Amino acid sequence: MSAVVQPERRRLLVAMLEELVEKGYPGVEVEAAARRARLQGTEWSAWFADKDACLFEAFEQLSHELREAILVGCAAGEDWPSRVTGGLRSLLAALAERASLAEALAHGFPAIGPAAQARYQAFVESLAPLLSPGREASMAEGDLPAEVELLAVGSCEALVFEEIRAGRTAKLPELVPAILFSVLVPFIGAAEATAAMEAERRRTSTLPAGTG
Amino acid sequence: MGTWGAEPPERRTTGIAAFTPPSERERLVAAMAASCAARGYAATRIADVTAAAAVERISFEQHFADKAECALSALNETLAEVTRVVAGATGPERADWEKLLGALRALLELLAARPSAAQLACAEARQSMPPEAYALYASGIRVLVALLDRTRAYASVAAPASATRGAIGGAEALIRRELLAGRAERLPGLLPDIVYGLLVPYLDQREALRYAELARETVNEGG
Repeated sequence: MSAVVQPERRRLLVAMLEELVEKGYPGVEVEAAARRARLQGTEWSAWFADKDACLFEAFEQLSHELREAILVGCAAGEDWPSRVTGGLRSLLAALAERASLAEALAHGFPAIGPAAQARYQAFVESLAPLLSPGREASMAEGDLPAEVELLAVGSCEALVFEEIRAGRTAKLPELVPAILFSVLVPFIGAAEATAAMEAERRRTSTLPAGTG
Repeated sequence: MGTWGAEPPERRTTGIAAFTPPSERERLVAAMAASCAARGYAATRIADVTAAAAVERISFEQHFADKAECALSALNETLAEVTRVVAGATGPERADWEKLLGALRALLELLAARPSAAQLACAEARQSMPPEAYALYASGIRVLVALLDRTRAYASVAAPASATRGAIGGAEALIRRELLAGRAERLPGLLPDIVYGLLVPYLDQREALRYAELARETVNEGG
C-alpha cells in the first residue's frame, strides 16, 4: 500500500473504522462512511470493490501510521533503551489521541473474521524486527532466545489491548513506564529494565499534566 | 456422513474418553469450536455447526438457546480443561520450578492437541466474540497471573504490577502466531522461550536463560 494517501481517501478510511466501532461489521456501509467523511460527488464509490476492501485498506493505513509514529519516536534516543522509550511514548500517545481507531484496531477489525485476525497478528509480528537491535544491548552471557522480539512485542500488545478493551485508551500514556519494563526486560534483564522504568517515571512526574 | 458427524471432536487428552462415543452435545460443542476456528465466530451459522456435528436443528435447540450459548459452552469447557491440566501439573509436593515447567508443558500440549478449541480460547474469545466470552478469557488470564505471580517471591527488583500479565502476553503472541498459521503441533516446542519470557522479569537474566535451557532439554528428550 502506498504510504501517501489522498486526503479524501484517508478521510473515508478513518470514517470506515469509526463506523465499524459504532455499528459493528454487519452494519458498516461505505456510503455511510462517505457521508461521515463529508465526501462530495460519487468518485469514492469506484475506489473499492466492496466494503471489505475498504475496511482492510483502512486497517493497513492505520497500522502504517502507527508504525510510522513508532519510528519517529525511536529516532531521537541516544541508546537502545531510550529509543524504545521514545517509540513506546509515541505509540501510546497516537493510540490515546484516537481512541475509537484504537478500538477498531484491537477489537472491531479482528472480529470481522479469520482474514482480519490474521492481518492484526501480522501487524503485531511486523513490529518485532524493530526491537532486534536490543540483542546488541543485551549483556547476557549466551544467546537470547530466538523469539525474544515477539515476546517483548506481545507483552506490550497484551497490556495495551487490555486498556483499550477496558475503555481506558486515553490513559495509555500513563502506562509508558510499566509497559517499557515489559518490552525491555527480555533483552536487558530485570535490573536494567527497572532502572529504565524508574527513569521514565521520574521524567513523567516532572512534566506538566497532559504533556507526558 | 458418518454416524457421529463428518468431523469428529479433536482427540482428547485422556485415554478413557477416546473409547466413549461423543454425545450430541459434545459433537455440537466440538463443531462450534472447529467452525469458529475455520470461519470465525461472526461468520459461523448454526447450520454449519449442526451439519458438521450431524445433529438436527431441533436437537441443537434442545441443548442451546442460540449460537452464543453454544460457543460459550465450548469456551467454558476449554477453560475447564486448561484448569484441570494445569492443576494436575502443579501438585503441592513439587518444587516451584517443576510446577511452572509442568504446568506450561501440559498447557502447550493441550493446546496442540485441541487446535480449534485453542484458537477459540486464545484468539476468538479475545477479539471476536460477545463480551461474555471476553470476560471468560480475562478470568482465565487472571488465574494464570495468580499462578505465575508466585515467581515474584524470587525477584531481586521491584517489577511493576503488570509484569506478569505482560509476560503472559508475550507467550500468547507466540501461541496465537502458531494457531493462526495452522501450526498447532509446534506449540510444545515454544516451551523454552516461553519459560524464559515468564521468568526474566523476576530472576537474574542468566538464571532465566539457564531455566530456558533446562526446558529445552526437556522438550528434546520428550520427557
